[in-house]
Amino acid sequence: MPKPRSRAMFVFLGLLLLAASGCDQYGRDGRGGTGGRDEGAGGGDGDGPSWVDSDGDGLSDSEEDDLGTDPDDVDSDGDGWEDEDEVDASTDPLDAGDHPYEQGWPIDSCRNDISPTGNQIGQITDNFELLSQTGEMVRLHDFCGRAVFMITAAFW
Amino acid sequence: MGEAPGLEALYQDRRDEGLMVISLMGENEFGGAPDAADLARWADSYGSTHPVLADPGFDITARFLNSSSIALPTGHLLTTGAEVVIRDGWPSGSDINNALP
Repeated sequence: MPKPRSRAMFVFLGLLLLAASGCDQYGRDGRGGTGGRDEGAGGGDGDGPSWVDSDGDGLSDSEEDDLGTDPDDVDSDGDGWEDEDEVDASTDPLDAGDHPYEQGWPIDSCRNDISPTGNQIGQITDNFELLSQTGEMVRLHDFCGRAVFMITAAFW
Repeated sequence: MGEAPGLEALYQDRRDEGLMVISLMGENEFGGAPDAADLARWADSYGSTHPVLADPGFDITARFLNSSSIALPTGHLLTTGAEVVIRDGWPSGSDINNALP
């Protein structure tokens, strides 16, 4: 049977382990947690967790500062999509008219780097923005990272 | 439109390889510009989950035509970066393979 002093040491080590594991609640994989401000972070003075996500949207306050988004609002542009989801989908979290597609169609980050040259074979075709079956406007250049097969047919 | 089920199957089979399929609808059943309800009704009829887009007046399709008249169906293939590979034609399987990222 351990001596009282040894038992106290075990308890102390256990508390240390619990405290260390608690730091993970501020990790990016910790979405779904409390999402509250890290009151113990020490305001970045180095004596608390360095990753603070005040609104719990998956982006750190520091990242939100870089993006210009509101660190206390999960949806800075109010378009119904959380800031992190917009960043992951390569859409602008500060533009309510630019957000992921409801159907989950991909949006490739190259879309803003396309310089159209024409519509002949070998040329880079112009963008378009057309109404879809979901009521959303779909932009051709959003799919710039993949092959696109377009068909026009007599649909009726 | 007999191509519709095949297009959706193609999309389902190859989207993970980097293929996007887009159906362009120039007019509704009354010859007018398709609205979202027309597109949704058509997409639902064929179980289409790929983008079904309104192309009123065939303005976008006209970009890729080789003549002033439209012979439907017609297909257009782009490779990555929106580069035109095939216009006003019908790509083969190897054409699609070559266009994939």
